[in-house]
Amino acid sequence: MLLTKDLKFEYTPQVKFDFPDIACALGDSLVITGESGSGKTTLLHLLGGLIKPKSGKVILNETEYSVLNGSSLDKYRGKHISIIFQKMHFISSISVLENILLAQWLGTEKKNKNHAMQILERLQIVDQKDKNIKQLSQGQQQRVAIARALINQPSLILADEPTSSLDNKNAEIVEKLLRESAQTMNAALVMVTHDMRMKQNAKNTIELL
Amino acid sequence: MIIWLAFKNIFHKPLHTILNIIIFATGIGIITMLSLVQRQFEDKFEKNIEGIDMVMGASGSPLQLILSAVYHIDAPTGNISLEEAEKWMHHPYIAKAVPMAYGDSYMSFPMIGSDRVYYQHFSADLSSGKLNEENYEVVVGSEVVNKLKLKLGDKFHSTHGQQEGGEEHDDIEWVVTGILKPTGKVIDRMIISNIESVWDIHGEGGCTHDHEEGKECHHHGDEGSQEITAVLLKYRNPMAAMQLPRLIKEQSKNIQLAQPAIEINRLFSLLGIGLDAIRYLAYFIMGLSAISIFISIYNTLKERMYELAMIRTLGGSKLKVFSLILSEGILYSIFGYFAGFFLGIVGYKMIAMLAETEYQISFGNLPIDFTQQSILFGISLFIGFLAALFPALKSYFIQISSTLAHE
Repeated sequence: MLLTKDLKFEYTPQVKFDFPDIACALGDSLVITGESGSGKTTLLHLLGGLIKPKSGKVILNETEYSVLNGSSLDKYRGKHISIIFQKMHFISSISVLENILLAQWLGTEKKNKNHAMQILERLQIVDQKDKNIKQLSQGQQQRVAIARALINQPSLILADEPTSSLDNKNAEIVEKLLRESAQTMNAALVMVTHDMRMKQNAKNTIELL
Repeated sequence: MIIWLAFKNIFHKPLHTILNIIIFATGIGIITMLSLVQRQFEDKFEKNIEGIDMVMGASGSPLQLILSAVYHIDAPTGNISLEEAEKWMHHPYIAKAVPMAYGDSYMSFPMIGSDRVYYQHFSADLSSGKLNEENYEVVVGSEVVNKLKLKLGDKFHSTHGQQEGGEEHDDIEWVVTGILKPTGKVIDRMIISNIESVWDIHGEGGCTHDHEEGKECHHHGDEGSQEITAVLLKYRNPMAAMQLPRLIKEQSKNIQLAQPAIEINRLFSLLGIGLDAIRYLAYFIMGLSAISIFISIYNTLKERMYELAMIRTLGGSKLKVFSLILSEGILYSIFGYFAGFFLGIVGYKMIAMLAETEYQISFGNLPIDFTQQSILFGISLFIGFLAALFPALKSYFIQISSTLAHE
């Protein structure tokens, strides 16, 4: 279960955010929408432990990780949280499969090639495994990003505009894939978007003002 | 895993990486080659002055006297009269005196007339045949045999002077009677006869130059006119070193004394200035390569900020990102060091080949100075470390959120 309580963040005294409390059960999904400048990405980064709140708590499965610091926070994030960014960032010097294995090693300090292959297979990109990321299409890259997000079986998956750069058909596939994966993996899925297509499908939504 | 990733990263853009490694390797290569050549030369030079306290010869440059009498790589300063020389050779202060008369050569290998002391001086043993007894019999050193494929009983004509293409003594045939085992000293490239043959061929001691039956010519004329080129001397005691030079200087005006140790030190220090200049250049090149590595890493760092932020997001600590960038710098220097070491050895081999064809000086095994190489390796690591330190620090303090948000 993902919970936030009285979450506040401040860039400058003029630019500050006061976020509504969030609750998302494992296996469930939540869509957060809002205009640009409403703090969507900031909230996602707070949930991902990339920045620290000015006040308030972020709790995942009874662990309040918003108080963790330094490498223990990095370690926690690597193990329990996956973030899919709007623009996909991969290590360009290594192959698709190696990118997955690197994520595995960074998160768990172990490598399991079989598991990585299974995930690539499930996302139907196993035949691209030895290619460089740049040789892949946008949709394929998105799948690799998802594969990387799922590899360590996180409890929380965060996605920043996962579908906005995709066409209708691919957007639908990706969204479905994310929801299904979160369900089978028993992870909480939080998606931030301004994509109206996604809002229509969502059961739980929060709109930031 | 970090090192593997660092490796992948630096070879992701191989051209720039190879350039960096080449620059680095050039610096290391020059230093390695210089010290190999220097050690080899010093070794050759020092080995050959063992057991020689003083060289006696004709007036002229003392360095030339040493180079000609000890190493046979320069023309002799002239001749001195045997009578005058013998006065000192049998002096009680002298433990050993090796007289030498020379001036001829065969296929650029120097020929020398001496007596049995010469073999003892170099502790040279025969590998086949016998020592020279009669006039125009020669014993040859191992390198001469290797190069010229001489066999026992082979006959040849000598040339006047040290170079090929000098005036040939057609009338006289030398015959090989003995072959020496290798000693690693100058005797390996010598052709040795008795002194009488040298006198005879040059028409001294009563023999004329155009003598028809050279082999039967013995020195029978005026002993006083006989000359030798130089004498290698070993003192009996330290007192000799104090007294003898002064005595000789006072009593034999035409004789020059030169101390090989001093002359060779002088030569080394002269060479050393040149070598040091090249060595500083090499260090300068290594400095350049540090800058070049720094620029490579720093430039790609800008492009790779997202990648590094992503590594952090995936659970990599600050330290991991820091060590990734640092490893890249150090990998450059490790590859650069080994490539440079290899380059240095190749360069040394080429110089060795040149020395062999030009001067008949064959270099032995690789005199690798492992202490110096470990220091060089340490310096290499330090350069890589230094070049990558600033970019690594920059990546250590990366702000994940703002890096990924401002795309």
